[in-house]
Amino acid sequence: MKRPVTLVVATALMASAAWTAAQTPMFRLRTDIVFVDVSVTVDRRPLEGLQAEDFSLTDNGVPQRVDDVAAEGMPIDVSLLVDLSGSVVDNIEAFRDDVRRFAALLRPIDRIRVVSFASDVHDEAPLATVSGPMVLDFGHGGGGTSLNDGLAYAMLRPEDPARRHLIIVFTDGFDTASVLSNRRIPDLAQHSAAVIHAVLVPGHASTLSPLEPGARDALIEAAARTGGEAHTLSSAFGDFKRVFDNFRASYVLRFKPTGVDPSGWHALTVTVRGPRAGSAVVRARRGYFGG
Amino acid sequence: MRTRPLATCALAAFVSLSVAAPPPPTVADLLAQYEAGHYQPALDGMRTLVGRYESRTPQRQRVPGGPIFQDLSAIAPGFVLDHPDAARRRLVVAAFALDLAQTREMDPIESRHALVAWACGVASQAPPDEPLHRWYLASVAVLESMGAWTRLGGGDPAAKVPFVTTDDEREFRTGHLSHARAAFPDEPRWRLAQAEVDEAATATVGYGGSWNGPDREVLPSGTSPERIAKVKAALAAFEALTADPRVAADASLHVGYLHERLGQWDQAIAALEHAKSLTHDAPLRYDADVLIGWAAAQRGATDDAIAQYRAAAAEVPGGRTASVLLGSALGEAGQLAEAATVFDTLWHSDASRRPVDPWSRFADGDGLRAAALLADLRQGLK
Repeated sequence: MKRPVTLVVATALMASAAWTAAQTPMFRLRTDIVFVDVSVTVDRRPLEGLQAEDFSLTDNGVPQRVDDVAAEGMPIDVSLLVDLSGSVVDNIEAFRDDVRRFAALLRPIDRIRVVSFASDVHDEAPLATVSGPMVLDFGHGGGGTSLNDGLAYAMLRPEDPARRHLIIVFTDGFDTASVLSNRRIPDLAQHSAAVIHAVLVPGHASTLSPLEPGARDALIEAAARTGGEAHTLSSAFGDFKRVFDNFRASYVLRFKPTGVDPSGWHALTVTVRGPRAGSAVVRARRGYFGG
Repeated sequence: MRTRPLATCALAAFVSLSVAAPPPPTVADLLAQYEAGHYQPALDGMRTLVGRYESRTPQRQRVPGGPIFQDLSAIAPGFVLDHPDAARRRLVVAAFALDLAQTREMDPIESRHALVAWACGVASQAPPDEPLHRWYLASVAVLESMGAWTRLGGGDPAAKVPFVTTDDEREFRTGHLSHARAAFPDEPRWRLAQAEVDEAATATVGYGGSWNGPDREVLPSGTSPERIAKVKAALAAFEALTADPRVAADASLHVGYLHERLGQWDQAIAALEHAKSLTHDAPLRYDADVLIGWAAAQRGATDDAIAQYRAAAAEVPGGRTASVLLGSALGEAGQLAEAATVFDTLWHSDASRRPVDPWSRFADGDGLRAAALLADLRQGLK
């Protein structure tokens, strides 16, 4: 993802400080630096220990030099987006416990925000570090499903260059009440710095309408465009933990685009070099908008 | 030892008697309140009435119309006939039925349709004066608010419908608008409503009910020529109405959206700007701004879209469609901080206090104004 060139230098310096704390010393005085979240797995397990030289990256087809790689040290903001419509969450009490247990796994440098959606969208817990059991209501369920509007709310937020943003969407993937159409969601995801993962609850055929199946597809496509993916629910806590652990073990590549027009859409490709290239599955966002 | 329980029982019985709530109002009680101009208590009572009356009958045995309808239709003749103020009382009963039909707990929907149809039979015998005109305006709005397009325009003669009464069947066969037209042939809002009925018949997902953004009903590539022809016919009907200043603003708004559904952005924007120039009605201007902004967005003019969505949000602050589209457009423009502020403002607000989003009721025509038109009707009955 590219931090917009309109970011002030002070922000970049702040980001630099955070990066510095986590990685090798460096200074950044320019803002036209691009960060890309990259997940590398072998047999669905994170492949750890990769360095900058292990990655090959192109920007609009032009090979780029990866200047640095950050990994586990960077703080993470988690947005947990929960579908409270219909029967997605069968047992609110148990689900509340799952979310609290998941939140308790976060490091002191991480933050979590919980947003729910049904007919409306609600902030259940504002973005904050976890300092005790989370107070969660989840009392706004029932009625329609505003998945797309909720997702836009979670995605379209200013970036903190010093932090990574993970969105986990817990839903059956139907939408009946959003202003935003399904087709808008993948495009909007390309304007977000967040990486989206969807934990999909099997839906109920009786709730289908001509609109609804498309929302699930749109969510899956949006996740893919940000470098995330969709998962079928096995257990809420276990799935949240696995997504978070894998995200934490993924990489952030830093590069300064060269030889490309800075404006417009920049298509990215990221691969892994070397002997592990054949077996590695690499997921990265498909591109970013330049300033 | 035996006296103590007895005394306790006696005391309990006394307390029970002394604090017993008054008996809940019946249909007749509420109609009497309504007739006396005590509308709010009557309307409040209707909401309690529905639950009590419907619960008397097991769900599986309920029939469209139900016991409330049966009581009202039994009371009405005595309430109206042989009364020196019979003409007014006829409209009082018909207005009461409309308000009852608008009570959302009045389910199933067939019960509400049947009430309006029955009320139409009662009202249509009143002289064609201003109160009756108001009744028809309100009744059309009530049916539009229910998305009852077949009741308004007339249903498929071959359709198998469980009619409750002969009025109900007559309404379905001929369409409520035909009765309104018969009473007030020059009222242009019937033609507007008919055009809205025709427009609804062109929908993919369905006009009325939950309503998404403007792109929901845009014709996708590969749409059949027959369907395109229907949309164009609806467009022509609204275009014809733009010549009548009484409905020109509404008609122009629909012309604008139908052009958008056909992908004709320039014509859409021209019609929508014209609609705005004709009215100070905030909901209508809101819809026009939303649609102009959306047309601009389809042409890639994100800054113009943002400006229009801002204008819409100024017309109806807190309107969900304008807020969500504005936040999204700001996000696309890279203005993420402001996008987040717009979303935060929307979603942190109390949904129950948020204004009705006019775009969500676009397809309902005058349905958005049903409450106001019912209030006008009641005012005219005093």
